[in-house]
Amino acid sequence: MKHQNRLQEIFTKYGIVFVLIVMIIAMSMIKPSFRTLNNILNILTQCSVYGILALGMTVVIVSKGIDLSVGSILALCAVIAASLGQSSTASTKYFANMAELPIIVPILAGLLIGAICGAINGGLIAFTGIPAFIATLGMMTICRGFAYIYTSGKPVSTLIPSFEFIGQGRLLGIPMPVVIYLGMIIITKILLNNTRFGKRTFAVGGNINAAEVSGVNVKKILLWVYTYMGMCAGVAAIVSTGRMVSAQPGLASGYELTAIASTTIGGTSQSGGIGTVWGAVVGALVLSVMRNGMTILGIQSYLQQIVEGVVIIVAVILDMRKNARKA
Amino acid sequence: MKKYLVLILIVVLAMGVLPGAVSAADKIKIGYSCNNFNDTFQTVIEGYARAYAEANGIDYSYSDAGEDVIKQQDQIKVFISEGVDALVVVPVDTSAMDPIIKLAAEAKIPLVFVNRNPFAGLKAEEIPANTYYVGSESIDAGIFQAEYLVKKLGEDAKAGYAILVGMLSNEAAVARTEGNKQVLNKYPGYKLLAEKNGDWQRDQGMSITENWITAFGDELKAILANNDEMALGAIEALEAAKIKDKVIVMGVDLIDDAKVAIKEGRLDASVLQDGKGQGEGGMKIAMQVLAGEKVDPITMIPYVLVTPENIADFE
Repeated sequence: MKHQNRLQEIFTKYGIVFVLIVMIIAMSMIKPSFRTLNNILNILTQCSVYGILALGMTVVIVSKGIDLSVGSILALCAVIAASLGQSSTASTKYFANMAELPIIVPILAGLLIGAICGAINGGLIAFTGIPAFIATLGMMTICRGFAYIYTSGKPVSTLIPSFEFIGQGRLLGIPMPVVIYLGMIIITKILLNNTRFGKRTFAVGGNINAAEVSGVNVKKILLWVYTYMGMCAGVAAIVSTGRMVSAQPGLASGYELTAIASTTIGGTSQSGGIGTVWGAVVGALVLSVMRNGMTILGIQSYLQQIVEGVVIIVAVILDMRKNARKA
Repeated sequence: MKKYLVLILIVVLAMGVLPGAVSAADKIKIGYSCNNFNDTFQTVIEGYARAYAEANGIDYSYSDAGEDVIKQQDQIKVFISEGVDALVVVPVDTSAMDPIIKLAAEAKIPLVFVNRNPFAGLKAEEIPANTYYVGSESIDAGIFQAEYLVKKLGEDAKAGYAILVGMLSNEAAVARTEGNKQVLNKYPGYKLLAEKNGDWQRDQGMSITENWITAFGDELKAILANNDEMALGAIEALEAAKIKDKVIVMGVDLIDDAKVAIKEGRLDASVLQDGKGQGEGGMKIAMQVLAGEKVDPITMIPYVLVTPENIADFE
């Protein structure tokens, strides 16, 4: 009896991992091409961009916030980084007389712009008290607008080879986007679980009043939460630009929702204070495997969207039952 | 005192005469209503319309409806109250143009629609008087791509192809895809392996193609994309998998990146929607009508297939 209870406990706790494993086994049986090394690397590469966003989003949602602006911030960072990383042979150059800059310049520019946008989000939320939903909704349109103005609506292309390496190169056989994703997973994991900042973020999300009373500087924590999210968007922008060796102002629209979905599927609770980094990774993988699998199986585009929606809802229902049982 | 009086008289006279002098030159006034300035190609069309106006001394004013049907109607009311002689309109929604047609008819001014056809499927005699359309048929872009594919591989070839579709709700996406199939369904050797929406985006074109490479391997011989951005994404995926030389890729729009890719032999073809033909065409039709010439209600501006052979003509 006791044994059975524990099994049930394990299943509710790691339910989504079982779902992922079942999906992978089923796909491998139906389509042998699914389990080739190349395809597995594809799946990982394809989820790296929104996977990185989902990492930042986990921190945000743990603090009981939300960030709708990440897709637009990503686009703004990407076009600015790309414009600083153009090769001298580019036909349409953003800075006509600029020499080719070392790759570190566009990377730092992307991260900086992301951090600034994130800090603006955090500042608005912490110091004006407007809801995160509204503040980031505003930033979503503002950043998209800036991306369009900066580029006059045109893509930025013909980048230096080292940009291409970030998107398509390999390190020890592993595609660079996956390497960067792994790095961000480790950083976020340490940040959330092994630092005072992480502990306080959980405290703020769990009960903001209690956190304040116990001496946590809530405003400062919120400012850094959104700044970190913005930086994640900057990293994702660099990966995305590298993958396509170009950047478009319309890039990544709707990615904020994919990131929120990944985080949610992974069990991070919208009511704040609960969430794990590995959950965000599993959630992103579930979406990536699902998209890859359904495309390989030749399932119609329209139907794919419906299946994705159903999976998100079911995941949250399972999750709520899990948390209810705990209480 | 007299001196001042004379001066005042001169000033008053000048004020009365000067505006009269300008309007006496009888500049024709045309109002241009764009559906959405966020759409790159629309800004191209508008640019040519404006250039035509400047070159021909037309008093030109424009507005951006931001994809809002009601806003477009309001802006056209403003144009009419400003006393424009003709309207050139890119419809926000081709099925919601009746109020605008009515407004123009009441003001008794010609109305020229550009780029998006509100009269699709209508017979010439069913088109309201004094209204015109200048533009292209979206389906032709798809037909051009498919015909070029057949020309390259041969009518009897056995080839699997896939279609990268734009945003599912866009008329252009539906019609271009339809054009692809209409041609290729005639050849039993050509097999549609998959079609998937990439929402006009390069990154999505890339991810989808990566999955197709896994799914179909050597079977995949061609990718027809509804626009250049998705086609360029497909090329990135094919090059990363080192099979670009085995798969033909085509797009639509001939954006600058596509021009470069065609020159480098990476993109096999693109289809140019003639922004100049449409933007200038709309203004020209309005001028011809105002000059009292008889004009056909529909003017089709053909698409142009651009390949490595003729890319030099598009510099």
